[in-house]
Formats: sequence, C-alpha cells, structure tokens
Amino acid sequence: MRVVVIGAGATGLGVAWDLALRGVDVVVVEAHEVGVGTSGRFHGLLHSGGRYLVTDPNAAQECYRENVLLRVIAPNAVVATGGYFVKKYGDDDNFERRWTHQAEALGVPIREVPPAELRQALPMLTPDIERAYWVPDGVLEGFRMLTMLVAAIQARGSRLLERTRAVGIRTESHRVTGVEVEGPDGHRTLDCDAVVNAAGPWAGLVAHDWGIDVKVQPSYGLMLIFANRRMDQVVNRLKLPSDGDIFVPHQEVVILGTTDVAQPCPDAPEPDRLEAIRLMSLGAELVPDLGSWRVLRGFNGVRPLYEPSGLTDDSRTVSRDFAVLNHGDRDGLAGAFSVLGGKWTTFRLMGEVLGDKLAESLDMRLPSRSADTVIEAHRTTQATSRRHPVDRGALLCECEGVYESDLDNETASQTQMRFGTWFSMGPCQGTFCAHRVLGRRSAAQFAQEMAWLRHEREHGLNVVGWGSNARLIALEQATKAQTLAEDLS
Amino acid sequence: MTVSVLVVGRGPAGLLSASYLRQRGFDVTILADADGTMSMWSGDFGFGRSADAFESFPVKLSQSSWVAAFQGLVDIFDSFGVPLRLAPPGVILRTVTATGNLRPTFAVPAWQYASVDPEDLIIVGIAGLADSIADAQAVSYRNHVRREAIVVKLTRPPGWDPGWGAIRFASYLDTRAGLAWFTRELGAQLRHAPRGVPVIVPQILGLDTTVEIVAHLAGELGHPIAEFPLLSPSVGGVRIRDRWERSLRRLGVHFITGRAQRVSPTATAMTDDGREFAADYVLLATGGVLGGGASVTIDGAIIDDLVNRELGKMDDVQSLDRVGHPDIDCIGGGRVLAVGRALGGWNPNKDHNGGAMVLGSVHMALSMISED
Ligand SMILES: Cc1cc2nc3c(=O)[nH]c(=O)nc-3n(C[C@H](O)[C@H](O)[C@H](O)COP(=O)(O)OP(=O)(O)OC[C@H]3O[C@@H](n4cnc5c(N)ncnc54)[C@H](O)[C@@H]3O)c2cc1C
Ligand SMILES: Cc1cc2nc3c(=O)[nH]c(=O)nc-3n(C[C@H](O)[C@H](O)[C@H](O)COP(=O)(O)OP(=O)(O)OC[C@H]3O[C@@H](n4cnc5c(N)ncnc54)[C@H](O)[C@@H]3O)c2cc1C
Ligand SMILES: Cc1cc2nc3c(=O)[nH]c(=O)nc-3n(C[C@H](O)[C@H](O)[C@H](O)COP(=O)(O)OP(=O)(O)OC[C@H]3O[C@@H](n4cnc5c(N)ncnc54)[C@H](O)[C@@H]3O)c2cc1C
Repeated sequence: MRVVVIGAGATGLGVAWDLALRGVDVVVVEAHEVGVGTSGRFHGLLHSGGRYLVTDPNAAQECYRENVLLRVIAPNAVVATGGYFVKKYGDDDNFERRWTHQAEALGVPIREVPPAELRQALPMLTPDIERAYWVPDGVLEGFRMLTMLVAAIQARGSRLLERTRAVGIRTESHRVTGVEVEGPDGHRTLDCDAVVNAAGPWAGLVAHDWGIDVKVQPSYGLMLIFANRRMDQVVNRLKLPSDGDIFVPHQEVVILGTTDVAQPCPDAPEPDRLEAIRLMSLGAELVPDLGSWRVLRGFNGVRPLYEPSGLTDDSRTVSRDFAVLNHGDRDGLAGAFSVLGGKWTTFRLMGEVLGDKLAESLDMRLPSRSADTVIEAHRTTQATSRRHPVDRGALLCECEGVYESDLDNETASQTQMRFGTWFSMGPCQGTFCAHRVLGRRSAAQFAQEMAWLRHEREHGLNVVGWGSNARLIALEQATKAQTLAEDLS
Repeated sequence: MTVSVLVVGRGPAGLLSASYLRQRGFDVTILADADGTMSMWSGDFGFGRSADAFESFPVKLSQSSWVAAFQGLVDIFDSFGVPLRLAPPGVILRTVTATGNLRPTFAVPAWQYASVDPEDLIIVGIAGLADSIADAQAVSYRNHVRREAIVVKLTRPPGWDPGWGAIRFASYLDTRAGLAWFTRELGAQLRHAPRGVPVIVPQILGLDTTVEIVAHLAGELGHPIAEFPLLSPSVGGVRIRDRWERSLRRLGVHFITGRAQRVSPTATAMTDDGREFAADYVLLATGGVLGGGASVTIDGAIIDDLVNRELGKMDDVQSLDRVGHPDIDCIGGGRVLAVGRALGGWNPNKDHNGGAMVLGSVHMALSMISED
C-alpha cells in the first residue's frame, strides 16, 4: 500500500504521520522545502478554541480537543502558556455573553480573571479593560513540530522528497496509479495506490492539474514580530474576530497579528508598510505603548480556506473548519483525495479524518493511532549544550547562542539550518552571523547563499523600518557594503 | 580670546574635527552619548569606486585639496602611532574583505592588506575564530580576480574557549606567549608554501603592538604579511579609536558623556539631563540614522530631533544612507555645522566613499569656522 502526499506543510505531514502509523508506505513530495508554505508563516498560536466559540463552534471544539491532545503527544513542540481574552469598555456586551455561553456549551474551559490579576500578569495592557477571561491557549512551535514530524515519519520508513513538485497524475480506468513529479532527478512517476492533495493554499492548483474543480480561497495575513518577549501569555481581544487582535509570545519574541485580505493567488505577497502601520495602531488599542516596542520584522502568510460554494470577497465569512474530499465519490477519480482548510492546531485531526476516509475507501481495516502515539522529540541544539564547552567550537551567533557544533548536519538546507538553530533570527537579523554560518557550509555556494539570506532577511526588516529597527537596517547595510563589499561581489 | 567649539558625537567625524580644531588652537569639547562607528569599521578610508569619484561628492573640493586633506589625515594618524598608506593620485588600492571580496580604498593603515593589482595570496584561517571562513573567502577571491588563493589553517591557541572573539585573540597576540604560538604555527604551515607570496591573516595581530608584530612576522617568515579586517567590533577600528581618543585627551580635548537634546541656532546645547553647554560653534557629528543623530518615525518621516528638522521621507529616499542635512551650514547662520554622516546627499554604502566624505565635510566645516 503506497500513498503519495503532496505538500510538506502541517497538513501534509499530519496526514503522512497518521498514515505511516497505520503501516502505509508514504512518500511526501514538497515543491520547495518543509515549512516554506503557510505552516512557516503563521502566528504560532496553539488555539484553545476561544477565538472561534461564537463564529465557528465546530472549529472551536476541534481546536480545544487537539490542544489538550498535543500537550500529551508532542510536549516538546507546544508550550502551555495560557492566554487571556480581554474586553475593553465599549466592546460588544452581547458578544461577550454569547462567548461565555458557548464556552460552557462546548466545554472549552474559561475562567474570569479579576482586573488586578490581569494587570499583574500583563502590566503593559491598556487600563481600559472591563473584563478578562483566562483560556488554555498555548504556543505551537511550528518549526520544531515540522522537524519532529519529518523525523518520526522517516523513522517509520516513509520518505520525504523535497524540491519535488507534483505536476500531474497517471490513471488507469478512472483510478490513480501514479503521481508525476519534477525534481532533482528530472521528470518521473511515483507509483501509488492513492494520492493526497495537501498543498494548502495551492491545493486548488493541484486539483486543477487533475482536471478537478476545488475552490480554495487564498487570503493573506500580516504579522509583526517584536524583538523582545514582553509578555508570557497569549492576549486576544474579546470581540468578533478581526484584525490585529492577538499577541502571541514565541520563544524570545512577541508576534502581533493579523490581517485578512482575500487575494486571487496562493503565493504570499510582499509585506506592505502601510498595512504594518495599520497593524501597529490596532495593536496599540490593547498595548498603548506599542510604538516604543522594537519591531523586528513583518511577514505574510496565506490561509488555505476551503470554500465549497465558490470564491468570495469577504474571506472572514468562510468557515475555519477543514474538509476532506474523496474525489472517487465526488468526481469519479478513485484513489484521489484532498484535505483542505483547517488550522495548524488541528493538523493531526485532519490527518486522522483523511486516514479514515482513505482506509475505508481502500477497504483497509487499519485504525488511526496518531491520537495516542507520542511524536518523539527530534535531536535539537540542546544536545550541544550538554557538550563540554570547548567541543562546541566558536560562538557564531551571539543573539541565539549558535555554536560551530550546531552546524553538524551537513545535508540540511539553509532554511532548515536557520529554523533548526535560529541563527540570523535574533536582534541582529544576520548582520554579524550570516557569513560565519554560511561560510562554514559550502565554500562553492557561499556567495549565492549569502545573497539569498540577505534578501530574505531584508524584505522582512524593511517593511518595519522605523525607530530602532531603522538603525539596525542602516547598520546591516553598512556592514554588508562597507565591511564585506557584498555589493561588489 | 580662544574660540570654543562643541563637537557632538565621537565617531570618525567627531574625532577628526577635534583633531583639526585642536591643531588650530581652538578650545574643544566632545559631547557624545555613546561610542561612534570607528570601532565598527576597519579604518581604511573609502574614497569611491573610481579614480575621479570626487567629482560626484556633495562637498566640492579641488583634486589638489583632496590630496592635501588626505596628507593632513596621514599626519594626524602618524601623530598617534597609526601609519597610513596613501594611494597615489589617480590610483585605487583594493583591500580584501573577510568574505573574499575586493573593496576600493584610498588610505589604509599599514597593517591592513591592500594592493593596486590583484596578486596571488596565501589566506590564513584560524580555528576557533568565528569570522574566519578561509575556504569560502578563497573561493570568492579566486572568482573575482582569477588569481590563486592558497588556504593554510591554524589550530586553536592554547587556553582557547568559545568565548574568544577577535579582541580576545588580539590581546593574546600582544603577549609574548601568544606571539610565539602564532609565529611557530604559521611558520609550520608556510613551510611548503611558495616563497614571497603575500600572506593575509584575520585582523587579530594585537591591539597595542601590531606594528611590531607585523614587522616581526615578516622577518621570521619570509613573506609579506598583512591583515584583512573582520566585523564589529573591528580590531583595526578599536586600535585607531583608542589611540586617537587617548591622544586627544592628552592634547586637552574635553570628553563629556551625555545625550544632547536640543541645539539652538546660537550654538548652545542642552542635554536630556538638563546640562547646558554654550560655545562659539557646534559641530553636529551625530552620524545620521546609523549614528543616532536622526530617527525614523513610524509614518516614515526622518527627523533630526536636535535641531527639530525633517530631513526627508522614507518613501522619497532610495536608501536610508543618503539621508542627512542638506548643507554643512545647518542652522544658525554658520554657527551650527553638520559633518560626517550627519550631512546628507551621499551614500557610503553604494559609493564606498564614507571615509572621504567624513574628511571632506570636516575640511569644509573647518574652513567655514576659520574664515569667520
Ligand atoms: C496569517 C495566518 C496566521 C495563522 N495563525 C495560525 C495560528 O496561530 N494557529 C493555527 O493553528 N493556525 C494558524 N493559521 C493556519 C495555519 O497556519 C494553516 O492552516 C496551516 O499552516 C496550513 O498548512 P498546510 O500544510 O495546509 O499548508 P502549507 O503549509 O502552505 O503547505 C502546503 C505545501 O504544499 C507545497 N506545494 C504546493 N504545491 C505543490 C506541488 N504541486 N507539489 C509539491 N508540493 C506543493 C507548498 O510548497 C507547501 O509547502 C494561520 C494562517 C495564516 C495565514
Ligand atoms: C511562529 C513564528 C515565529 C517566528 N519568529 C521569528 C523570530 O524570532 N525571528 C525572525 O527573524 N523571524 C521569525 N519568524 C519569521 C521568519 O523568519 C520568516 O519571516 C517567515 O517564516 C516568513 O518567511 P519570509 O518572510 O522570509 O518569506 P520568504 O522570503 O518568502 O521565505 C520563506 C522561506 O522559504 C524559503 N524559500 C522561499 N522560496 C524559496 C526558494 N525558491 N528556494 C529555497 N528556499 C525558499 C526561504 O529560505 C525562507 O526560509 C517567525 C515566524 C513564525 C511563523
Ligand atoms: C560597519 C561600518 C563599516 C564602515 N566601513 C567603512 C570603511 O571601510 N571605509 C570608510 O571609509 N568608511 C566606513 N564606514 C564609515 C561610514 O560610512 C560613515 O562615514 C561613518 O560611519 C560616519 O561617521 P560619523 O562620525 O559621521 O558618525 P558616527 O560614527 O555614527 O558617530 C555618531 C556619534 O554621534 C553621537 N550622537 C548622535 N546623536 C547624539 C546626541 N543627540 N547627543 C550626543 N551624542 C550623539 C553618537 O553617540 C556617536 O558617538 C563604515 C561604517 C560602518 C557603520
């Protein structure tokens, strides 16, 4: 039994994990690299369901269930920070009533918090808060979870092919028998018994390649990263979900998000300065002093919302829930499936539901085991900190504490290395460490890798070029040009 | 009566202003809230990418004035023990960067590698030094100039630990044991290297005894030897800054730590803790956005708070680095003057003329003060 999964984001890897646990031989094909899609461009929130209590009860319940489950099966990739929903004076009382009512009805635990307690936990919040509720929100370490999933899948004999794009399928009498891919080995066909389209915002395009119409509504959102972890809990605004109403602490930073703008294409657009300014003023409604926080960068992610009834202009009315399509039943193409929409938080559940449908249609009696199998922690930089200091080698990235010995995975791509070690992600954004890390990888590829990293770091920096970040940009440019003469290379 | 000048900022523009002013007998006070950029750059003075770069400068000096200005710079550096090598007029020296690129320069400390024509080189890599990436550096160098670059590598020095940055390496080489280690190790590595080929090493050859170390190594090893600069904190820049500030103190320049909040057109500066300094002139050597003399507001306005003036809009400027005051004569009819990066209209990142423009603007400002 061989299944090809298209897309190595949270959804595709969740599917692959669930299938691998059922004993299926899985091949995941990824056009670029793990996590370059929406799963590496999200807000980092392990939803408690609180956000969707009123607008999407189904999603709320699913999120809460998975939230509780992930703390058990993936404790290395989630942090149970807890979070607050805060209502400002003047925010809709009616919404608050429905929200608390729904929490009880759906079994999502909330607890009203006295304003004094909130002020103590989060003194930077506006004093204009009328009421606050604690919720079991948490932080989802997306990059770590992806790495753990890849390792867990590979440990069970399944494979991941990066830089391999699915371009079509081979069929025999209305049944899928193979997936055509283009990759480092050129064009070839991977034989299979079934194929799963988990291409996130690109899922509509993948289905289109199969001659099938699937409506995916891409909508992008902007997030701003602040350079310091100034809060330890998630903060949500208690009102109808809207723009700029969530703060998430993530490792050493805080992320504010997001916006929601429908767009025709699935690629993430360049972040826009005016939108960043708008997000700052929305965020200041909760944190009045936000203007004095150092912003580090801004980035966009694209939601892969499934929209059964066709494209729409108002993307927030589309369900956050996910859908699993069996194209055998729906379109007469046996062995083809799509899994659409959803959230990072529900990646495992999406895998389970897809797995059940797939097993059923192929007459396999293999139950899902992903709800009670721990996703092992991947070897991380913690291994380094246990070494004798001298064996770590030189300190390459002062901001994030990356040593030479952290680079020992020679086959990792630059992006994997960055998300694995976090180099160039701290306050200096690679100004002083980029050449140190990349110069120790391939000497032949060095110039190209440097140019790519600078480009990637700069486009996130420039969108928030004000205050002390403007000064960092000036320093980065001076170092790059005047110390290293990269412009003359 | 002696004329008093308050210099705000102690980056290269501030220090250079102070040197010139002291030479001419002015009473000089330097007020700065922090170190300037001297310790971030290697200390070689960029002039421009081409021999006639001066034609594009916002500061108009004749070619002979430029030559005279650079000669004056050499004299000042000489006075505090940093020998500068000057390119002859019309010729551009190129120095090698830590990433193997070639960068034009006009005046370079004698300890730093520079040459007019590219040559075959031996590049020294040092284990345990973060900025040392000799293999990658050599590939870039070969690709750029189609010359050979041989890499030799030294192991970590005794007593090394991961906390050793370039400054720590340099102070080790200032010791007798450090220099002996380096001479022995490098000598062993160069045993089979072609004789006479220049050797370039990361900029760690001491903080205090660099000139002596370079001479010693060249004598012992039979190769010309010079450094290539690393990143911040740059050992080359730190050497210059320390010697320069020490010499200015000796010459009677007052150093005051503090942040100026307002500078009035009548040449009075007020600090954020309420101190007031009145002088005959104020030189704003505040370094633009990078130096902290200008800030960018969230809606993209670039503002010099000191004199309460908008310098531009982010949307209109191609690069942050062109931003600054439009004229040296900044406010107050010639009593408040902008020098160095505080003066706009030039882009050292694009044009590689940072050092020249610091020199040129200080030169002009000085002539404006002297004419009075
Ligand atoms: C702004 C924003 C904030 C969010 N915040 C949160 C949050 O805080 N918490 C939360 O739980 N959820 C959040 N989400 C939702 C969550 O991020 C997404 O639902 C989830 O990441 C989607 O994952 P995916 O695997 O479906 O898509 P992706 O991660 O985009 O993966 C799809 C992959 O398919 C690949 N691909 C595409 N076409 C092909 C092809 N032809 N062949 C091979 N590979 C292909 C792509 O390269 C990509 O890697 C947020 C979403 C957005 C947009
Ligand atoms: C939860 C979370 C926390 C974060 N925390 C931090 C933080 O603390 N500090 C920080 O600096 N950033 C942080 N980021 C942001 C991150 O660095 C990126 O800005 C973000 O992932 C979006 O990518 P990008 O803007 O660089 O987009 P892009 O430039 O489009 O790149 C996205 C990724 O895909 C890769 N990629 C894209 N196209 C290609 C291609 N053709 N070939 C090869 N690779 C390609 C890039 O290398 C890059 O890693 C965080 C992101 C998230 C989701
Ligand atoms: C990384 C880097 C590498 C460089 N490399 C080279 C090179 O190789 N060759 C070259 O020729 N040039 C180089 N430069 C020089 C550069 O391009 C500029 O010419 C130089 O930085 C300008 O110096 P400055 O003295 O004008 O300002 P800065 O050095 O920035 O000094 C500004 C000073 O003003 C002070 N200040 C600012 N505002 C106030 C206030 N309100 N109150 C009190 N004090 C204040 C600051 O604390 C600081 O002391 C480099 C610069 C950098 C940053």
